[in-house]
Amino acid sequence: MKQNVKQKKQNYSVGNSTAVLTKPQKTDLVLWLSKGFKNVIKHWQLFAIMIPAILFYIFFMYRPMWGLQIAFKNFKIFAGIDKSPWVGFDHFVKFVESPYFWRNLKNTLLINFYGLIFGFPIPILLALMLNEVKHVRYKKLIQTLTYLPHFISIVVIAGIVVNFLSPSNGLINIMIEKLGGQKINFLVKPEYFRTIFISMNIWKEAGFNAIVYLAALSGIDPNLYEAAYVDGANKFKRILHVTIPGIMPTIIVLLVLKIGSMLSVGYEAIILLYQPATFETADVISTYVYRMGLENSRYDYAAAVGLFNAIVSVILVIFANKVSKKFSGTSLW
Amino acid sequence: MKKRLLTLLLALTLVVSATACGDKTAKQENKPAVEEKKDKPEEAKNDEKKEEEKKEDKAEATSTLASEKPLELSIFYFLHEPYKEDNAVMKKAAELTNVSLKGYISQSSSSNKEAFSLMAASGQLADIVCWDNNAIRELAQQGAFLALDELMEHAPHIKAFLDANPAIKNHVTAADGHIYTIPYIPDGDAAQGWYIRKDWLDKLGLKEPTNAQELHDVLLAFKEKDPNGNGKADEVPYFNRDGSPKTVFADFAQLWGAKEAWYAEDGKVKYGPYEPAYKEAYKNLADWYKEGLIDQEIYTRGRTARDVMLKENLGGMTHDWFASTSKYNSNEGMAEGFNFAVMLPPADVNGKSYERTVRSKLHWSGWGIAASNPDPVATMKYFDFFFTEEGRRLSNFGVEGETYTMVDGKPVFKDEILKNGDPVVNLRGFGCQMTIGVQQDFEYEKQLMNKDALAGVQQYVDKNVFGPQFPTLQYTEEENARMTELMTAIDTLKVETAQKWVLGSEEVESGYEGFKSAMEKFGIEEAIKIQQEAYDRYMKNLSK
Repeated sequence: MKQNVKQKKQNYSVGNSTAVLTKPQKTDLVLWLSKGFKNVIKHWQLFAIMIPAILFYIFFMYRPMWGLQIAFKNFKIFAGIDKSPWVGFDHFVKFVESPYFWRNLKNTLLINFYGLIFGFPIPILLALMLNEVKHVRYKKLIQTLTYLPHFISIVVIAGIVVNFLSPSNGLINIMIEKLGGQKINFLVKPEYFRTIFISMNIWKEAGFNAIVYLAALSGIDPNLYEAAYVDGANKFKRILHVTIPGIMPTIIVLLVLKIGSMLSVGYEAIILLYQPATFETADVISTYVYRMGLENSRYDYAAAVGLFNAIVSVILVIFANKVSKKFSGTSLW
Repeated sequence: MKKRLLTLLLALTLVVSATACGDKTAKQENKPAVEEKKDKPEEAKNDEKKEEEKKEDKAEATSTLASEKPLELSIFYFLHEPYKEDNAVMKKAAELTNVSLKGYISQSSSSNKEAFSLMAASGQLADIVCWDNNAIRELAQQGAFLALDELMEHAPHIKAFLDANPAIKNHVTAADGHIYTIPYIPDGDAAQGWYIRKDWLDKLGLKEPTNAQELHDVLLAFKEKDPNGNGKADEVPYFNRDGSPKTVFADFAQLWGAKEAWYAEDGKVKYGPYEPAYKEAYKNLADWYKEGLIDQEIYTRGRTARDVMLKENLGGMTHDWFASTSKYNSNEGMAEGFNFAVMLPPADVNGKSYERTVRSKLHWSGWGIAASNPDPVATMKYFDFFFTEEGRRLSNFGVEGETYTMVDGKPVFKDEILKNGDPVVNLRGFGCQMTIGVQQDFEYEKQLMNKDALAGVQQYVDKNVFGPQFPTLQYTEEENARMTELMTAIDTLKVETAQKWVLGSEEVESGYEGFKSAMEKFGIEEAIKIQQEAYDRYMKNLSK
């Protein structure tokens, strides 16, 4: 009986094309499997198409996971993975016990949290606004200009930021001075770091991220707008009741994915922008680990930290997915 | 719209300027990208003489043979770029020794660290690996490299050299007592020195400062008396392009007897920031910074600071490498009367005047023989060749007739090497000045330095202002892992606190006790103990 339930469940989750595969028949597993096998033969073309993708996952996603074991080993590069001795959870313990662990964790989470709060809605707003622009060429121009920064190397962007904020001849400080204010050395004040870092990221990525929403927007049925119009909805109401619900699934999916990467930050950008004086708010897990010893080729330790991040990320994604399913009905799986 | 375009343009200009500010790494500075033409070397072309010498070369060639039959070995070498096979120096060396080298890594590799890690992870090493002595030593513990001390009988010149230089021998001897690499040995004494705008001093009627107080007054005068004469107090009295918070104030700190790193006193290892002098130094530094004597952007200005400060006629004083800093005196487009002169180090609180940096004879790079090498004996003989006078000259000056000519028995670079672009780059094209296991010859660098730089170096050497250097210590594997852990936290604390003090966001007076106890909490005593043990081992080996 149990199996039957399972089959039914599968039947729901799998799309139409494979419905034949799971047609609930007898409860016998063997029979079900042989039925499945027959299906493979029957639809072998479809399965053949899948082979490259499956191979890709096996060789490039699952096989490298074998190397994850170095997180539990004292990895010696020349001896190789197999011959390196096991050390259990040593690397994890060292990582958690390092004096700055909590500060680094807090900074990592806060930077991501604020990044999410301020950075996530902006591409949506941008996409909504672009969607309302009727002049096609103007729209295209703005779109291009806003996503251009995405293609500039982060090193250059950080250079621009440093130049802009320079206390002696930076644009921002010159403006502050002209307006009668006092010059501020932004990059050495911990209280400004998150703002600078997050604004930089928004400037760099907002336009590019908006593309996904624009694509989703173009998928909304124009009839809905017409219907809303006929019903007397004004522009704002149409956005609120037609556009936003229309792209809600996209928003949720992207949000859940974003939450999954809560523990990873673009540490190159941080390394380029931070100063010891701003460590208080800027030093994150990855920058600390970088200083600790990626330079000394401590792969085992780095792997342990990476694994730690991955596990936390998975937990966060599952949690976010659950919440979203409960409250909005849309979810990743 | 217009605004958007304007922003875009602005951004583009910035992109260009930012990319133009290429970084020079400290390692490159070890061999300063040297400068302006020296006095024109006299063209003494005596063809007959050359012919004779060539014959002599041939006659000697038999004695330098490392292998009976021609032998081709692969080499991992990647300093500024991957090993180029058809360079003149190595071709000549192949002629003389019968051993030719083939590059092991792709020319398209972009990072040497990465290239080395990739090679090590593949388990297939090149026959000869020229890389970080420490990395080779580590892999040797896993059986990847041969112990060269066991092959020493085939290398009489190397043996003689190491015996004559115990410090270098000690530097390359691993904790297990074996030697795995033949190191690259830089030559010369002086590395960096103090520079001051002599013309500004003269203009304000000041003398070269000889101690901390005088230095303070001079910098203050630079700040307030408008030596560049543009009517604005825009001078930056002291700047430094080494923005690294770990070392940027190391030169100043020693004026109050403080050190930024490890040092030894009467056989006892001490950590500079953990000593009381550190507090005194940073109290003063914080004051100086507040008074505007120190560049307000010293941490963020970056590697171009020297260029900008000098060309814009703003900077008054710095501490930097001799060869490249003296160059500005002969640059075009500098301010009227510009004279950036070498100054002796001001005396510290105890009246002692010394320079922190010195050209270390101990370099990180060297070459070793992989366990898979088909003919270790021939390879060792080949290594030995570079310790003969001929081999050393070949590596330093290149091939006679191509890169240099002999004048009065001394090699003198040809004009086209010195005058077309960057001489160091030119020489590298020929395969000179590779950081293989060879002894550098300072004579080479002298020929590339201008008058001012040479005089500066000479002044420092004559007065022998070089302070004692702390050796590179050898750790066991556990010690090494523990040190990395401890020092990452301690260094983080140190740079963070020191910078807060200088920038004034924390008072030195009230913050010092907390800083000290935090260091204790992070295990500074344990780190000192490890250092002390490694240091004792080092000293014991040295006296052997």
